[in-house]
Amino acid sequence: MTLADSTLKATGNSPLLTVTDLRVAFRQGQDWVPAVSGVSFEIEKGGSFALVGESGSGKSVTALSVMRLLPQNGQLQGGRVSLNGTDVFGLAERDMSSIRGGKIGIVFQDPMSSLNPVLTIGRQIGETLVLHLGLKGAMLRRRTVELLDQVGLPDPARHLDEYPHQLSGGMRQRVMIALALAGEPELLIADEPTTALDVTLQAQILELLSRLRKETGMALWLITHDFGTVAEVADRIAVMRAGVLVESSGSEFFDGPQHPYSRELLNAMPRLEACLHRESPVDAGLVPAKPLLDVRDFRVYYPIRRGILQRTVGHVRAVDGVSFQLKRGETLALVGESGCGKTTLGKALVNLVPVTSGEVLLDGVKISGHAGGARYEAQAGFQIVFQDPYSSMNPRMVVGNILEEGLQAQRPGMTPAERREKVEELLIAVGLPVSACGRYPHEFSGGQRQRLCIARALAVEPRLVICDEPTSALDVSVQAQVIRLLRELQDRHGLSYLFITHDLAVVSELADRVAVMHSGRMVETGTTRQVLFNPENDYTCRLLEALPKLHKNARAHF
Amino acid sequence: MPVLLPTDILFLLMLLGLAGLVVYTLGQEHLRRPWRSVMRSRSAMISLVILLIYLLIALLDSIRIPVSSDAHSNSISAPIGEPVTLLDFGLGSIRDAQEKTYSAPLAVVAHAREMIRQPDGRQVWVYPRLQFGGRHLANPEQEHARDLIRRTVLGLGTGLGAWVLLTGFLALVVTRRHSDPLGFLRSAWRGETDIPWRAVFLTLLVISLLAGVLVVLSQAYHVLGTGKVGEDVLYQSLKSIRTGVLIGTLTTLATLPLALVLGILAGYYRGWIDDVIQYLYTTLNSVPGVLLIAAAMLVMQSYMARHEAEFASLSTRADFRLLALCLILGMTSWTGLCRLLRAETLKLRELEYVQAARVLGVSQGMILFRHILPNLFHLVLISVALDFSSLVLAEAVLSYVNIGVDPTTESWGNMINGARLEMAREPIVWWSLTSAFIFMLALVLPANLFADAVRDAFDPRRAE
Amino acid sequence: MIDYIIRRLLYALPLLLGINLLTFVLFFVVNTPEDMARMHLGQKHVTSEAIEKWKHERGYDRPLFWNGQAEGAERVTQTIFYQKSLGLFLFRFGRSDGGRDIGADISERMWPSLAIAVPSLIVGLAVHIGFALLLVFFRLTYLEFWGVALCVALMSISTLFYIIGGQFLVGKLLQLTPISGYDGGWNAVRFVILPVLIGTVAGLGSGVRWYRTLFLEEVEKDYVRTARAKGLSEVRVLFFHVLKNAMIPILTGVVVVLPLLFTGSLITESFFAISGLGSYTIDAINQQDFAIVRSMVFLGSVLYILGLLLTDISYVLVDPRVKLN
Repeated sequence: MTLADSTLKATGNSPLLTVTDLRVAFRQGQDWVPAVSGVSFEIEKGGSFALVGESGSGKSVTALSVMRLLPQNGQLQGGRVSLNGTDVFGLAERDMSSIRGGKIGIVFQDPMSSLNPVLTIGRQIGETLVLHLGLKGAMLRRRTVELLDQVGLPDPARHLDEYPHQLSGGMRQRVMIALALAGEPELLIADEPTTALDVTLQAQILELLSRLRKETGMALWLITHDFGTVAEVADRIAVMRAGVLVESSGSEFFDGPQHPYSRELLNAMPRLEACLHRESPVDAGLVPAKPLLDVRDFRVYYPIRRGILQRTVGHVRAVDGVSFQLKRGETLALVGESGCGKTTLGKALVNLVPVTSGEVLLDGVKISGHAGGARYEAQAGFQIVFQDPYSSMNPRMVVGNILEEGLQAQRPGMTPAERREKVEELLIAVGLPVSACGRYPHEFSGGQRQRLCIARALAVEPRLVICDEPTSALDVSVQAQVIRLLRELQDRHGLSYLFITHDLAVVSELADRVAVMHSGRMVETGTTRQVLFNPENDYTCRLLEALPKLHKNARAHF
Repeated sequence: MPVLLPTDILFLLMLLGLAGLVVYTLGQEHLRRPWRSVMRSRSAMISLVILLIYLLIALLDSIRIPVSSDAHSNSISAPIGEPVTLLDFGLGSIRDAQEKTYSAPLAVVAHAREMIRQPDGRQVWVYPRLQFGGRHLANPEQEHARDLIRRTVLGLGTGLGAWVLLTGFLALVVTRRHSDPLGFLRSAWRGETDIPWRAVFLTLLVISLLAGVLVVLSQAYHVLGTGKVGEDVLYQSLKSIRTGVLIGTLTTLATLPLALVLGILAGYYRGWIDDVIQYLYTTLNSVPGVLLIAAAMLVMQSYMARHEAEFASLSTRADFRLLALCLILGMTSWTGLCRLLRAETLKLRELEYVQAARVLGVSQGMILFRHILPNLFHLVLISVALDFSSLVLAEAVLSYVNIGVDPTTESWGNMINGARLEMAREPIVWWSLTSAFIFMLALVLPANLFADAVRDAFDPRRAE
Repeated sequence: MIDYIIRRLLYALPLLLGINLLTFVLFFVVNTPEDMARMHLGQKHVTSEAIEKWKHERGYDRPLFWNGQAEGAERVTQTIFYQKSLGLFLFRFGRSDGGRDIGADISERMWPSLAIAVPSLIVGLAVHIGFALLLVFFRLTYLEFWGVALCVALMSISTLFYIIGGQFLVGKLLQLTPISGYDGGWNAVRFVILPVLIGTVAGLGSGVRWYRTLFLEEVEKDYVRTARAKGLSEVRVLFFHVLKNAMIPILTGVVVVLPLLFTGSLITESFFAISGLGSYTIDAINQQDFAIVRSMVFLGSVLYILGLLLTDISYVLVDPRVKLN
């Protein structure tokens, strides 16, 4: 039957979307790898549903399947999707055109790459309006402006003729939402809509989605890995793992999930109140008085060049006069939003980025201002662990060689046998089997790779390890393991960490002291407890305010 | 002791280097994987077989044996002092079979009529009988067709026999380590093995049959006809293989070091080194390629003219010109690869594992050697594979403009050059051109297909 | 924007100087005027007077860079470098070794070159892009597989075969158009059809593959997924969204070759007996007329640099990400 007929048959009380036993697989070489293996759920009209899972669980694939937007190597292998009584999988491709954008809208994770870079915003939104609502001319323009206003974009008329790259990240995501709304869909799917955004923006977007749902009466289907986001927005929650749903319930979920996996996930989530339950060596007065690291008036400026002769007309002040101290055995967290300069600071300390001015003293010895070889030697006390476990190791080297690279460079006196012994020690220390020596990085999972990177850093026995967002790219359960590992290693070897992150809850789990950065400056420092629960600076307050409900509740109880 | 010309030496060295490289890559796991996926592609394997045969012919043509002035019965005539190659030795019969002028493929008479003086004094305007082609036929009109068929069948038989031997040997080698050789062969026959052995064996069959027919027929006829001065076109085409293959491979000897060193330096150190190198290759690139080659070849010609004594013999002169052409082509085409390597190095140096190595205190040299270089390997491989075919094609064009190889060197470019005017003749002479076309296509097409398979396998974006 | 253009122009100056120097070195240093004279006059039985006369006639009897025997400024100006090479900057090409005025010849012969090259470019572009889009539209079907295989086969055939074959087939067998030759004005159309046709077919294999790769790269991107999610038809997604993005690299790729259209295709003009700059160059190479080859080398280089400049500018004009930064 035609789309028109089937729509007439829809009755009032039935759910908007019913997914029954959905099966999807992807082709890899000659085999079919299952991604979704029998998933069933319902979304009510105007309801809000959250599908939670870690990476690889199949949650995004589920959404794409419902809209029949799978990539070339994907295949629907079974199941039924019913939208308002219509069998979506039975429709001809032509008819899908009215469903996509018209009945179901979708917002993707990365707005920069999801928008067409060579078309104006107005044009891109207008396309949907023309296709699904048949608007033209002045009506078209007016409606576009209305939509942009509805999603909270300030001064919408001006942005109509702008291109995506001219807008900021948050604005772009709003445009994506406007794009999805334009066709007046009954269901809005949001696939990790806030993952790529800073925490303050995250809060705003979530609030926007909630508001829109109430205003338009459409249903919201949120896909995420972050429970914090879920608690804000969803009435019903389903947890997905390896292609199947392990649990499905309402908001009572957060009081106590049923399935052990859900419990595990929820527990693994870093808690803002963690620092209250931890013994910090700083509080106990167990740290020596003299600081390990003393940074004074550190500046990293990038020149801005203009004109025919490319004269320097000004500077981008990435790090603008930062001073702090770090004691031995302590973890100092450096927090801030993207662009605040925390990563630049970390990289500049290990000389990956040229330093403009400032003094750095390690154990009282001045290490800044040296050039070449002397600087290397002086710097040997630092090591760094990066964010992305997938690009931190040379895919063409075996793990054994990767780990001993530092030893080869800094301890030329060691024999290969000695190096091998040390590498094996390190592997055991980070909880990996000795047999890993002969394997390649791609044979390990993200969490395991991060452990290997930590092992690599520890090989040369540094005094200070700079951790540049080491857990941000990891799943929440793995994140907890890595944090635990870092704590263990610190206790055992007396390491000091400079932990760079944007996630305040992780800070609470790990850090003794916190420094908040904004626009290249440190706006507040103090113990974790002080900064998280008794902030003095306005910006810090704003950051904490933007945290999802789940965390805020913790603060309220304190 | 064999006599070797400079190009021979370089070619043999290159082949050795290539063999060494293959052995090296087999030892590296991250390179074995892509190679395995190349081997799994049917088109790639068929192309590889054909390419190896061309390579073999070129190799045979590069090993020279000295010729004693008192030639014995297996007469391989050559101008005194000119060394003769193994290929010439093998093609002995058709090499010596000179006619006076054009003749069609498999013909018994020449292409054009001539005035022939009969024994009884009369002059008749007939097609003269060929000196070699079909000379054993007493009565051509009747026997010609039958003779051809007989020989073709004989050739097919010989080819089949050779194929059986060849595949038998191959099968033995391949199943040497298998626990169940017969089972393996059976699944190979059904086309179910990992590496498409069936396709390989079938290709070998077709080639063996073809070769068999060619060999048998060429004992008595000019299979592809003769050219303007009566030389056998099949012989010409086969000899041209060496020229084409050499140009495709030796040029990389000149291109690689320059592109690699300069590209990496520019990309890794940036700053003024980068500026200088970019300036260098932009300047070089802006001179139109053909003109640069032309200018360089003119220079080389005057060099040869000045040092006449060193280039006494024909073969040394022609060989030097070939070598010079390869080097010049190499030095004018390194810019493309250099730019690619520079761009890739710029990207690589920002990768986190390179940064980690810097923080670990690893020296610049070690970083370049361990982290940058291995990750450029695939680009080099793809570039070399893709360039091979375009270089072979370029030779034809350059020879046409007279800045290619020496006119006395056998090359497809020279064949086309000569054939061009033949197309306008009445009756038309089409076999030289067609022969060059077929032989070139049979080299360039497999080369392109193989290069595609290599690119698909080694391109990290597609592979991982 | 103006700043950018001026900066690129300034950068072009040292490039031009470098080219000039390179040309000079190639033609005069490695191959001295002595050698050139010998080559022209024959190798063996040449008297030194004949050489000197030959050199004097063409102004090659001066020192290369520095004239120690002259006075003052003439030490620099009475050298081959100054007279011959720097003159090129002012487009003073001088006389050919055969005595003709090179500049006049160039300005006369560039029109036939353009008459062939411009239509070839336009027709080629349209046909190749069209086919490439078709192949992408029929992605992962048998049509695409055989289409790509055909492209590989086509590009494995040398241009020479296309020309010879095309001339034979169309000119001789079918007798549709003249095989070669050229005529001015509107008559040129008859003579241009065959070269343009052959040029398009000869470039079909590699051209379609190249554009197909570009399109495929774009099709993999996220914004295409968004466009489909909006409910747009595959045709619109491809021919509007993808094409618009792919036009940027295509356009800049075309702009780079625009100036070189003047110099024409050496081979095409030679085979089709078109009296353009390409055949001019080939004849000069064959006759070893160094003066002409030198001039053409310089001209070609200048045009290439111009092409690079235009590419950079066109990027700024066409890509909104670069334009509004």
